Amino acid sequence: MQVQCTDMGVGRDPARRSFSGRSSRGRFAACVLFVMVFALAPSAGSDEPGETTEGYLLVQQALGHLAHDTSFEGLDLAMEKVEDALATEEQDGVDVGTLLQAKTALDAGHVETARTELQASITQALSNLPPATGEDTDTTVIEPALDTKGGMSGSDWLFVAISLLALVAGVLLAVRFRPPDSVGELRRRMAAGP
Amino acid sequence: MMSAASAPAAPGAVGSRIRRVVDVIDDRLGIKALEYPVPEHANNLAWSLGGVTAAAFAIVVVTGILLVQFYDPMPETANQSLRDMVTGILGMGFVRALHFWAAQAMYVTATLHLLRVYFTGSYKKPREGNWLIGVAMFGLVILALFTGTVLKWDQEGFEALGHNVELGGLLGGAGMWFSPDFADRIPILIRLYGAHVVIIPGMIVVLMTLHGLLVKRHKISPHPSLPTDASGYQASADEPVEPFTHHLRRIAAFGLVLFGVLGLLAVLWPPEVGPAPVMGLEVTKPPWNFWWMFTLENWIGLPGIMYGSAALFVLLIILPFVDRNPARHWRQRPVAITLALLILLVVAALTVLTAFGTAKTHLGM
Repeated sequence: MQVQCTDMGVGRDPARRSFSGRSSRGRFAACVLFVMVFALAPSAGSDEPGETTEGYLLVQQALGHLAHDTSFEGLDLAMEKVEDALATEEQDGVDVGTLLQAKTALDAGHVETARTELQASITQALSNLPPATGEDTDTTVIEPALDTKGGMSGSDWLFVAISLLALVAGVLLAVRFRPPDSVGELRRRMAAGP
Repeated sequence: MMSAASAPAAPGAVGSRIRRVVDVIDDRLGIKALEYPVPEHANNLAWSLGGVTAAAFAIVVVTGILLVQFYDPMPETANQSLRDMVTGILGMGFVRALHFWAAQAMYVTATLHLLRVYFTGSYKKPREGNWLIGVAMFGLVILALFTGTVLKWDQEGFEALGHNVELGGLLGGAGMWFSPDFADRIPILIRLYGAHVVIIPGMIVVLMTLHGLLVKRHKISPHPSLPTDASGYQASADEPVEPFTHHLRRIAAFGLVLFGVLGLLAVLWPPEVGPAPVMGLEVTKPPWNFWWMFTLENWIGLPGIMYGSAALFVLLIILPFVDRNPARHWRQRPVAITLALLILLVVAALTVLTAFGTAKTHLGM
């Protein structure tokens, strides 16, 4: 029961999804019982951290490292994941040949080629993913961060103009509507009496 | 007293027409009830920060309504829907950026408002209940920031979700709602989406209404450097008053300034959309609002977030019941002021430590 209520991903192989036959109602009831007995008691966090052995997920992790950090350290981390993916026994849906090509490209420092080949190597695995439940990401394509700080378009200039107009109007109105006396003046007036 | 409606209006006078329109509306909706007197000091910026927070909330709500038209909360497509929205729909990049910056502004102004109330002793009798409502709203603002971060469904958002889930586990049964197993056929992203767009803003609106009504009931708190009435709870009758509508129009002016500043930030520094999330990675730092907790997490593990935030909120909740000193001026409250400065210093130091640190692995540890 404790696992149902508190093992929320801790130590769980994230690639494995629970398709347990127990009904949600049963789990809910179990959780309510758990609350009554162990409410607020620290209970999770004792599990060992788990690393996945699922090949396609290891490849995705490599892609994740490349998407976040293309420095030497990032490439190193990505390479570790690729090597893990090649070494694992759980390679369902992973095209090992393409993965080896990706490794070669990564070794040579050709990040874009490596990224394309890593993505291609798990096409089949990703096509078999069931609909997401719980914490599943169901990520299929890992692209680098979208840089939203491009050049100024016509609409951007329009928004700048509207913002400046609001800013100036707001400042003018705030000054016009300011209270007649500052706190200091109020203090002096009230100290002087009526 | 003769009402403006019954007074003969000069033909063509715009002011008279506006007054007549106001009278017509007042006859039906009673809006003149808002003209109750408030002390003059209420119209300065420090005493208007709650209203400025409400203005930021209004911007967040309007931009949020536009965003939900195009955002897809399904995990498979959430990140891509953001990318499509920002790059493919005219003006939505600006709307998203404005939503982001307005949320940041709401956090900042709510914090400043809370600090103003603290340092001027405005939480003291008879305003303890309204202080608690304010603290609850502050917690909801943090929750809104947190759920909004997750909704981006990039690596940063997914790692935030991982923390959410594991902290739920640390809470035992009390954290059950945060478990993906609570409703195991529904992606937790969709439940957090529901919380972000309905539950949290709905609760904020309810509490904000109560907050406003209690401000009217207890009246604007006295300024600590000005004389009070005999009870010590209200501004002196000698202090000039203005109608509350003047307070509202000044807040509207501050709201325009805020909109202008946020609009410029939205165009010049729009938030990026990170890569779609991958399970088992922990390579990002949380948003700056959570950096102080992140440092605690680096030191003592995941429970550090829980202990740190719980300690802060427990202090905020018990404050009006522990601090029985009736004085409001900071010079007459050495303990409360020293304590607050110490806490601010600690939070600032913890924040700076994460600002100059790197992302670390905590999940599943």
